[in-house]
Amino acid sequence: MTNTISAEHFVAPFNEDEDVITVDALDETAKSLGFWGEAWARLKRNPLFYIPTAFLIVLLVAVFFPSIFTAIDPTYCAITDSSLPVGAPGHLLGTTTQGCDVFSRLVYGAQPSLQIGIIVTLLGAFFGVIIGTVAGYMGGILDAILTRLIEIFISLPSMLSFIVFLQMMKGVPGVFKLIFIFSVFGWMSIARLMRANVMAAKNQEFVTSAKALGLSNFGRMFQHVLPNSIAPVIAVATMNVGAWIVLEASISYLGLGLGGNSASWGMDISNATNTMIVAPGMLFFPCLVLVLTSLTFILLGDALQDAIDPKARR
Amino acid sequence: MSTLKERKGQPLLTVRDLDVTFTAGYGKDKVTVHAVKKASFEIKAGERVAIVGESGSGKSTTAHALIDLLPGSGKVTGGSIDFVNRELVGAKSKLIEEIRGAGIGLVPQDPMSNLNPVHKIGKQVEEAIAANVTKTGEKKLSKAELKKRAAVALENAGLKDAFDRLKQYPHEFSGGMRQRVLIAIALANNPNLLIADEPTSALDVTVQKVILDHLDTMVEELGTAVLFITHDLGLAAERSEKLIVMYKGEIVESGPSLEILKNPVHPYTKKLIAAAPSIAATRIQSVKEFHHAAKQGGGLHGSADRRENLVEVRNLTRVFDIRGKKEKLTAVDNVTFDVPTGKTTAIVGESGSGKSTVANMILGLLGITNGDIYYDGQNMKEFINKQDLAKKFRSHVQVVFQNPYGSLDPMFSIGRAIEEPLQIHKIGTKEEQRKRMLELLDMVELPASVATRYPNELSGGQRQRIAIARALTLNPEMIVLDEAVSALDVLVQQQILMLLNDLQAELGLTYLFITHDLAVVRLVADNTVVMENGKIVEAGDTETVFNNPVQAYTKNLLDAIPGRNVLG
Repeated sequence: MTNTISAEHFVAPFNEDEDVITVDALDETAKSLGFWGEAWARLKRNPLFYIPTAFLIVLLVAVFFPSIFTAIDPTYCAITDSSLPVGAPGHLLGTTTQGCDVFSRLVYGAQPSLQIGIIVTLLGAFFGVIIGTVAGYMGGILDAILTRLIEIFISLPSMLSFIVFLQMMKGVPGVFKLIFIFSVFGWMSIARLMRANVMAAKNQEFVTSAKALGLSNFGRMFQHVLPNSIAPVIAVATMNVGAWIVLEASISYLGLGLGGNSASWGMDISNATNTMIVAPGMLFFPCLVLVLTSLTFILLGDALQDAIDPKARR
Repeated sequence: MSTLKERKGQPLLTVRDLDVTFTAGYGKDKVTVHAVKKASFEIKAGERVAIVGESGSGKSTTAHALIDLLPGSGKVTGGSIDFVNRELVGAKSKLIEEIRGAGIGLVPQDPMSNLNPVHKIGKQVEEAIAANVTKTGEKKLSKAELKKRAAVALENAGLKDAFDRLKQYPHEFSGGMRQRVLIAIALANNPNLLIADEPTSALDVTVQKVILDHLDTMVEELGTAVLFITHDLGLAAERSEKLIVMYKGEIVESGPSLEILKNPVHPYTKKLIAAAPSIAATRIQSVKEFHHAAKQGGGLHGSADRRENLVEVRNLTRVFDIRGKKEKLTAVDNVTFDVPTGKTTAIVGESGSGKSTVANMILGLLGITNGDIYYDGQNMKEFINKQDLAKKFRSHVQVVFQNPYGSLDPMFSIGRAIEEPLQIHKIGTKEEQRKRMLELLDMVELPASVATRYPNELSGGQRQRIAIARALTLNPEMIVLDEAVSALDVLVQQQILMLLNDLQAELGLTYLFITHDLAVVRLVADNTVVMENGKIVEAGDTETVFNNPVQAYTKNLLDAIPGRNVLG
């Protein structure tokens, strides 16, 4: 260096031989995961993911193999065994006033609850995603029509509709009437969420860039816009499962649910209210299971939300 | 306050061995990032100092640490900050609050998000004044006095009709006006030191110049010391007496601006100065040679000869309807120019000049209101609605956008993103597509391992390379570069410009370069078209436009390039 350096001129020590500055170097050792891979990695790290998952697995086993948990038929009731306390021999959680085994009814009650919760959510998500995507992506008159349709469905009194419809169908047993009427009102929130996401995604530069490459309108919608809009739906839909299960219980409580003597948490709660003072356990256990199930899906949805969009939390 | 001026030259702020760390995550995933390492510098009263560095260099973090504005996970972990004999590291929040605003003012970076949209300008200026008057020992001001002071502050910041302005809302102000409001707020209480964090990065060059000139005169009058935070070496050298160059959290060089500019010692500073587009002066030359073989023969209709002008734009006009308003906006007004084959044509203009609208029409992404665009001699109107020809056109003309974070689908792996054009046009088998993809990665100087990665794992410059590779996939004739290097740091920018230039020489590409940055135009463009308010102001070969500008607007634009005249 022949240049003079004034007293104020500070230079940090450096090694001339080393190439100190590599512009925009690429770390080749880094692992690559992709969007879903990263979400999964974050999910695995979240302790709040394991608790609801464990409970959900127990529930699913109860749905598919209830006999693992109990050998007693939930519809078999012996009046001689009426109102046995918790821990009575052969009846882990006691019996109802009719003499049915409480634990067995809880186990078998999982099946219709989860069936309804999951199928209604899937149907709602399916139609919601399609309607929301079309409305958001196409815009214009189609969007106006579909948005009005969503608004009409939201403004309809859903609870009243459930009661009226199910009252009419009271003679028909089975879960399908419930799945049907819930699904009719189960798609709007997803459709609105999807529409908003799609509208944000379709204006991104990568969509314009795909257009400039010559990709067709539908190609852009399915390959770029949809995959970039759907992640939040998964979290919201998961939380919805819990809400539908609670709704099923509420409807069954009103006596408009499954009907007959079939095991249902809502009906058990309804039956137990009459004897709340003398046998609180009968009311307590179905309520507990219902709350835990609902909480499971909310926690799971929350964990998924964090995994999909970790920045939103901070 | 005359005391400020009297103190001129005495130490105001002394920073010694400042360490700042950020922590993220918890448990075993905890990551600690050392954002600032042992930074030491001094600011004297009335002195103008600039911290220069690229993104991630720690320049803003250093400034924010001074007034304890670090975001949640950031912490000063060592060193000392002495402000007029008061230690700020570990100081009580009361002391820091006292110093903020009254002792050290801050002009934030983004004028668009730093004013509260629901409050009137007046309220926001008055709030800042009211919060600080009591600190200087004055008694509380009456409403009328407060209003008067706010108006004076705005007037000083160069806003006319200040009393009326107080009643307006931020959305009624342009970006430049908002920045003036922020400057007014920062200077309202005569701070000893003003921190200006990229104060004009979001503004057009001509507005930037006016505002910085005004800021200069204001601080001169008040005797305020200024700490500029900027990525623009030219601006830093022009506006400050002292430079501090930061790289990866460390101060690598500091001293008098001119001396550093002329005799940089640290290799990083040297590199930075060599890359700064505002100081370099001529077009980049490439050593690469044109491989005729690499060129796909023929235009839209398969004619083998290359025309002189690939694109001819004639009397092009585009009118937009404004929602809820009767009058229409003429974004592009009777524009005529040529894009010569194999050369780079730049369209330069400030925001709202219509340059991007022209580009989008040439790309066929936006309809034409009036006039014609000829691509390879063919009128675009005749083919853009015919599917096969339009698809062919799309394979001929490609685009690279400004935002390296938005132009790649985050769900697509890099390999898939580059292969996508081939899949859309159904070219080649899977293996051939893969081979081509790897070839392209090599062309943009990225390793093959990148193919399995995803966009969010790459830096802005690397993503922009991917976008270029993708644009090259179909062997295009022309690439439209819409502010393609504007979001990048200088060194990365230079690297990308070199790459583009090499590719042009090798492949005989035609570039249409859309930019607001005149300094970059000088480096890459053969021809320059200057636009203002939808009209062409001046057009010609770059040398002529830069050396002998005819129109006043062009001259203004050229004068506004920061640092253009620093080295005389």
